[in-house]
Amino acid sequence: MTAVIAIVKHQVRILLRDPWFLAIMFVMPMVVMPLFKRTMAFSLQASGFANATGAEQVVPGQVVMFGFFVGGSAGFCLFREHGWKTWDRLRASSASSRSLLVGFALPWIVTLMIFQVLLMVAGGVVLGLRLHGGSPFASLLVMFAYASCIVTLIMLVASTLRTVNQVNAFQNVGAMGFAGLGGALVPIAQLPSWARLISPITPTYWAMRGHNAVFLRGGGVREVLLPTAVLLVASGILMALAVVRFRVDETKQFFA
Amino acid sequence: MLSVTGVEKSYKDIRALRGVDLHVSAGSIVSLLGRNGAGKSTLLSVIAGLIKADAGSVVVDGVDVLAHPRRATGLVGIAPQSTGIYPTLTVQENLEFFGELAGLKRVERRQRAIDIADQLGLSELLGRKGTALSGGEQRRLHTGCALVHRPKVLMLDEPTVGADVTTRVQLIDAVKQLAADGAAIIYTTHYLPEVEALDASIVIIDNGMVLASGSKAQLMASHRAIGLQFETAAPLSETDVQTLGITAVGTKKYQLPNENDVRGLVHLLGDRDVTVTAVETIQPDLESVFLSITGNLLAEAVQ
Repeated sequence: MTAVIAIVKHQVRILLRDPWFLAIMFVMPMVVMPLFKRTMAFSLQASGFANATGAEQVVPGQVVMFGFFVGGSAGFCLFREHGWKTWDRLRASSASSRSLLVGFALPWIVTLMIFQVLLMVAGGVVLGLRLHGGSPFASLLVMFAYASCIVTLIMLVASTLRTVNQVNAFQNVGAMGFAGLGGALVPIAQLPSWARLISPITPTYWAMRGHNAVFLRGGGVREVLLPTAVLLVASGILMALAVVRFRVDETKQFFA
Repeated sequence: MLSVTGVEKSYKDIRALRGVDLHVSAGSIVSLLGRNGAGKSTLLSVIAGLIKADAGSVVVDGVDVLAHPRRATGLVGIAPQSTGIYPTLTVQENLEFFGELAGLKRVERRQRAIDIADQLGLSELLGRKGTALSGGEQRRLHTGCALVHRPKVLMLDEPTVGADVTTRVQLIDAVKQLAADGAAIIYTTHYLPEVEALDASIVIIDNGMVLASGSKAQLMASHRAIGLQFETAAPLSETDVQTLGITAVGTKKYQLPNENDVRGLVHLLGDRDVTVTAVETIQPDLESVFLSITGNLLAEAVQ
């Protein structure tokens, strides 16, 4: 436990030394959101939500998509230790491989959680996203479950892949691909039938389903229980697989 | 303090360690000498629990490292060959992190960071980030990170590579002080003057085997083999070098590894009509002892 706490604090310290990464990740969706708000309003209205402003789709959609980019960066941390030649020092410490993995994952789950909340609030202020009777707590539950799922997925990916370029590719393709398939870019109802068929395999689908329940239908905790549970169960499975797959003595290649 | 017995390690077809024995008592410094690829770093990694040995035993302060690697981590400190520090963190943060990882409380690790910085000449740089340090300062910080938790066995893998003279002197002084404080130290290097400055016991390792060990005086007494160095007008062929049983130490400069063969050498050179332009006797030193034992000069073996 001591080692986990030490690594968590250490990761936060390193993260705070370069806040520009998170700042850029925050600004980008704020630029993109207004561009698609009007289109999404038409799209939602065509799907039966007559009073939709478009913010109900575009804000959670961008939060989910850019959340994947932010969470995906958790994988870089493992590789960065190899690049800084500090990995062997960590291995030679009292930290077990499980402590290392948990210590690397936890700060990013919290970071991604805060990132989503701030972006949602900014979406409310700038684009007029409203709960319409939906529960803010239910929304927080969905965001927490999504953050856990994305970070544990990236931990599994980082445990498996050998180079940071591979993780980078997964992060980019995953963020865009999952956003498209999972209904973050356009409402799920607007997707082609084949895409609707496979979209439930993406974490984005379940996150968007939760957000739709809150922001479009005014749902509460009960309405988001299923998506939250799916994401949390997936997190547990992904973390277990990451722990099994994780080899501390495996050489990883950071940027040359 | 440290007892390594019959350690074996293979990587596929390569036998990196072949039954290595090594014993280091508290307060002593052992210098591990060997060419690149001799097995030094592998041995250190096995002792630190970074690599699992195929056979043998490693016991640190009564703890079997191979059976209980996690229990031994607090007892061992290692500064690997490559400099590993956190560039975006300050010197103090780097040192404190490794203290915290080892379970030191806030006040204790803060004090340890200050003490180590003082010992390694980094006191003025505690607030400076890793990126802003010179190569020598980074090297000292790298070594310092291995000391924070007061390991009983400290392993420094070529700590002065790329370091300036000041850094070398400070590191050597720090290592001697740590030994005086009771740590068992293994120090690998290619710089023989450092071994003498440390007044360390010497272990020569080659092809994964310990070929010789002892104090400098003991090794010189038992391996005072080289007595002759000569220069020829033209380079000798590799076949001649092998036939004559000599070692090339320059394009036209050679050393005779066994002074008893001088007579035979003179005959053979005469038979080949080789013109010898200079001859000198060589006083035995660590380099010649290393050459005598391994058949290589340490300086060359590094390249």
